[in-house]
Amino acid sequence: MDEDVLTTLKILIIGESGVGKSSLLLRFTDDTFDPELAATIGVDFKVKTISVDGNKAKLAIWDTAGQERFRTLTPSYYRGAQGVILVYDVTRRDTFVKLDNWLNELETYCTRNDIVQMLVGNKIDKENREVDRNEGLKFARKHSMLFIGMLQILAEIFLEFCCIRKSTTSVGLRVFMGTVQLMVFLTCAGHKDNGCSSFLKLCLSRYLF
Amino acid sequence: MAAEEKGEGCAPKQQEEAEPGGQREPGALRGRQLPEAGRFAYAALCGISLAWLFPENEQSSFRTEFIKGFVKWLDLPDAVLPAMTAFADGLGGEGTETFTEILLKDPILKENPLLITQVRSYDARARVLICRVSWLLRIPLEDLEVLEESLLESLKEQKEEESENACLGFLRDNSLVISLAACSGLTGGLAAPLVAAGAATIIGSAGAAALGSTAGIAVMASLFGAAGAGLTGYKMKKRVGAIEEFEFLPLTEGKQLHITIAITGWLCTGKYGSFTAPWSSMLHSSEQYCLAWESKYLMELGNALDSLLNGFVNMMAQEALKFTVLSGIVTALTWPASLLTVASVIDNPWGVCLHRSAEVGKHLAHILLSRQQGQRPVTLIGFSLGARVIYFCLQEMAQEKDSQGIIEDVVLLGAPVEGEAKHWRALTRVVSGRIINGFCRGDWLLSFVYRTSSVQLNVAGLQPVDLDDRRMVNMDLSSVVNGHLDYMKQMDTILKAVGIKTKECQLEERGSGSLFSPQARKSQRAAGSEARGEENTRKEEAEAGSEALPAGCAHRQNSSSSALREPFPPCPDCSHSTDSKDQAVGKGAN
Repeated sequence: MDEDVLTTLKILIIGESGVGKSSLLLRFTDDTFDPELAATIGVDFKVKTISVDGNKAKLAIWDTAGQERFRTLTPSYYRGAQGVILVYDVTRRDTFVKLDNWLNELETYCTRNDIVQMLVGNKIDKENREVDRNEGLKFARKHSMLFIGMLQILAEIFLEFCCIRKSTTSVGLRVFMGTVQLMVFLTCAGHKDNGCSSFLKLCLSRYLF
Repeated sequence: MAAEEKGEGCAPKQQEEAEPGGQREPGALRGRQLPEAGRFAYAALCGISLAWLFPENEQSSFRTEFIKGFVKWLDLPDAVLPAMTAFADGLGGEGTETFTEILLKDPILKENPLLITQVRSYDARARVLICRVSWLLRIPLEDLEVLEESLLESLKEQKEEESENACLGFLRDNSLVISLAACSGLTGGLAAPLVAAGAATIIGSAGAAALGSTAGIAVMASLFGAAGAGLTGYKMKKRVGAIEEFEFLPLTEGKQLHITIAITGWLCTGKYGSFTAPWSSMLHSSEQYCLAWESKYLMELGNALDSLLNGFVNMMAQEALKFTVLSGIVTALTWPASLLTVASVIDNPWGVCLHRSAEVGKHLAHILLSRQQGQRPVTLIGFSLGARVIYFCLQEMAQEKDSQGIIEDVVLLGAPVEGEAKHWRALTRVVSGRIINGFCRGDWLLSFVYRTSSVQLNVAGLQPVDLDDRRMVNMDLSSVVNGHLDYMKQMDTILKAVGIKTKECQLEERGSGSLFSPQARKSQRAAGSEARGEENTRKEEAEAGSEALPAGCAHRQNSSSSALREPFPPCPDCSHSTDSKDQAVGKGAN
């Protein structure tokens, strides 16, 4: 089965504790929601094979623990990651504010400079929303601008809002496929060595933003 | 912060330690008392090491079982299993530094840098893993052995007592205990903990150690081989095949959790008249055996070698030969007529022994496979035809099932076997630790006896074996060994060069062990690890330049550490190289 898989893409999910990183992953891989989901210990790992136009790619997804006590472990996962999904909780401003720290960490430990970033504002179904949509968009735009300024078109943050609780299949899929699409996009933008390899090249023809 | 955790609970350390896991058994091991992050890091470290050490597909069940057992043992929730399995399968194994750092920074580990590794089945692979992890955590291997010994003591004391506790409470007082537990125990209740300790004082507290096992005697029996008699108890019941003599002679009176078997290449009259003579200074483990085989033929061979070197070929000619061989133009080599006329003196006994050694090797393989030695890792060392015995033993084992995890390291010195990598590939299946090929470029005798053979250009004892595997270590002994006979005469020096422990260095260790306080010991260790780093680079240089000159290994001989005691030449940063490899592959695909 592994033979027809063209490449393995390493995707990392980061963000503060309790924002719904594991739920997002669960929604993507198993399409379920568990309100009682326990805190992640260290890191969780899931593999999902996705197919784009018959070209298969394996997504190796590392779901990190947001809790402070496991924070020291996180740097070891950054290495070699091709995509990062940053998650915040729209009902907790602090998780949004701390995104800057996460971005810093990402910059410090990440081994490649063309990492694809996706920003996810989670729990939009909840009443007591603290971070509104525009703020998120502004943040995303600011940082993609920043990256464009520094490293030309190296990476961009795309924003996706979702509510894991109520959603159906599509949400998780949208987030991850979005990340993959971003990788495709970057390959398209002429980046030779971003490691996404032949899979993404094969997908190029069909994927247009 | 805690309030923001929304019930996820950022458990402080104290709470951690009061977890049921820590309290369930009063003598619970400290390894489980590490904070959760520490335990996670420890498990991950083992997982990554497993993936690095045994990446072969056929080992995947071993890796999975091992890591499963270990996660369970550490009291980590099952939720971490997928991640750990991924680590053990080589995914995300980009770096061990972070994990190592966390463990090294841990206050418990800092206070008392003592580490226990526990395995249910003390298999060679487990020992290699333990060595690797200890090395990553900058714990000297000697400490590991000290703890191995003290465990053995406790095993002996406790063997007749029965305890309800199937697990092990070992050094429960002031020591941090980190354990590796392997579930796939063929031996059921066998729980053999290994401790790499910070100080020699541990031996004292080992008296308080309690080994619990549902059946202590059974444990002892399975650990040390049938009815405890072990290898010396083995007698060849009937003539097997073409073998006339086959017996294990004890080299040292001791019991240890790993054993060493030395195999002599030939016998001489006089000082080297016995099988044990060349190995007199070896002290790699306190339980060592020497294989006595076909003494009649080996004696004949020895005499032939003697008469050849002391009578027929004069010293001048020998030196000339050495340099001719050394220059590498073996194809164009014209053997002196004087040598060719007496060729039959050596050719006949050599041919006989060549054949016998292969048979003996196969027989040895079956003895090891039947676990006469018990469930203990075995290290095999042999020179000349003894190395050939080992080679054939490993080849035979490679064809059998369940042959993994028996052999830890093998050392082949001046091996008269084919040196092509594809033949050696099979050995990697059987050997868990390292395969050391000690060769000498100027070994004209070996070159001579292979003059008519088709493999003459590719003899392992004359050149490095070009096998791309972490296990394969080639050592140029040209500066130590002047001719084939030196393998016997210079064994002490060779053993040191190769990194096998000798009595001398054992004494040194003991001395320093008791002299230094734990503090001093710590700094010593730090210094040691730096020195190791240097040696790594040096070794790499030496390896890179091994084509050039035999003198390249002169310093290796002098430096105290070497292949065996420096278990894993590529440093933890080896991930860089894999990284770049990946990239290279990626580029290739592009």
